[in-house]
Amino acid sequence: MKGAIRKLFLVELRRLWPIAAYFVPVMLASLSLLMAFATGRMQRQYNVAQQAIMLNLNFVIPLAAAIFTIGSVSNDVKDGWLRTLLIRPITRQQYMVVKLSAVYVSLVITIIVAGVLPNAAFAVFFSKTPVQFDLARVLYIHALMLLQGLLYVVILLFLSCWLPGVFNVIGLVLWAMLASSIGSYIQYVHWMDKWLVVLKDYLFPSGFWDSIDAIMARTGTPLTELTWGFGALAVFLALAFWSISVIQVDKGSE
Amino acid sequence: MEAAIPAIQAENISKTYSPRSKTPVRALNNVSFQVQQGEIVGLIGPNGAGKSTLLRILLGFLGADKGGSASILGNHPESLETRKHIGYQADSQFRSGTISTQSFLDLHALLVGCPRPSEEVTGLLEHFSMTNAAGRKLSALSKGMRQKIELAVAFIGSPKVVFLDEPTASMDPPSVFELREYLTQQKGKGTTVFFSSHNLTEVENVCDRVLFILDGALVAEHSLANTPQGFLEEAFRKHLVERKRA
Repeated sequence: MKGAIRKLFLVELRRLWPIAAYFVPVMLASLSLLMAFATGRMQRQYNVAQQAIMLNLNFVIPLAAAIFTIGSVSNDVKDGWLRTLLIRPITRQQYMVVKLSAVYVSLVITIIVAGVLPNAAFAVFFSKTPVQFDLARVLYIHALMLLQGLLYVVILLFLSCWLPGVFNVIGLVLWAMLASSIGSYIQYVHWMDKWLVVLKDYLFPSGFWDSIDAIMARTGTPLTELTWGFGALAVFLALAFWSISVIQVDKGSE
Repeated sequence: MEAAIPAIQAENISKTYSPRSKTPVRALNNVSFQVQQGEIVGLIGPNGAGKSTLLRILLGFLGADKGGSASILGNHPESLETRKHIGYQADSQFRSGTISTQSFLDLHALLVGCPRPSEEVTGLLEHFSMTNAAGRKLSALSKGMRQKIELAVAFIGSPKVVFLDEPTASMDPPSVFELREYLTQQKGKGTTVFFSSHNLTEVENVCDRVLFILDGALVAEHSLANTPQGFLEEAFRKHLVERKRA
């Protein structure tokens, strides 16, 4: 069965990378480099960690996660791909693991090509100002960014089990916007209400992102934020696996 | 002596689409039947009669209403044990521009646990005269060719029970002859085949038995042993007329 799962993973990966998809990391890398030029030249020091956050967290990871997971499960149900797989002795959970792995590997490739390499290239070749590079911090931040990317992918796969086509991405974007608006409202209007202020940080699963902020602010090990991040990851993994085991893979057509 | 486990067993299967809506659609109504191992059984009926719904419930893709049950070789349709022994030719819309025919078939051969996947795939491609399509992307195949590939997928790994959904719908006559010959071979090996079709001649040519489904109900079943050519058409007309009167 191992060989079959490996083959399925390669097929799923191949499905995510039609010729047109090669342009995604290339285009994002070009834009990242432009952004690095635009911002890097304005700073007195080129901070690699800071720049990695700007390029990856704000730009490459959300975009690439959205591109690779748009309708990932719902389209497989719609076009019959999931049915052709599930007729075989393969569990729905195995399918989900393979799908998640293929999407995540694609995301990591894109992060490296479109986020890490342009940042490194600018720091090494183009920066006119001194480069600030703290290896431990850069590695720590990248590990957290990869976890935030994984969290996005898991949430989008979960939503894709229930929402057709592009609506999983729209759902996540709306959630993020709503959480941000409600957060701002609480911060400005109910800032005296202790519980609401505490709760506003938990409106959107941003634990890993908050951990990165805490590390950049050098406020010590962000235990609460990491717990929130891993907690959210565990909950959405559970939801994604539960969803794939209960959805109907055939809507019927009579 | 213990009776052999039926290849397919359906008991009181009903299916209602949108049951909570104002206009629920009753697609199947208390359908019960058995298919014995080694039989080739056809399922015929007009469009919208419930053929595909029944097939999908038997395969475990679609849930039936409470009270009914389906089993394949004595197991639940969705159990892994069942999946090891069944094949399904889907009327899939899957048209990948990135996966080649060979890769698609290899994947199925591996998933079903073929000891020699490449030989199995090559043999099936040769049998269905599709060797030249091996390197082509699935999206580049015509509808008829795609259907033949789905047929090859259904028979990968020599399954004990095969479900075919309109297998000849887009096929040219030579391919239909090939399929007929192949089904006869499979019958000789003891494979059970259950297929829905509109092609009465085809059903008559290959099936041992036929089930008639009309408006979601199983209205009749006929053995096709020693029946004259054209029997099915006559029976079909008769059942339609009876249904209209009722």
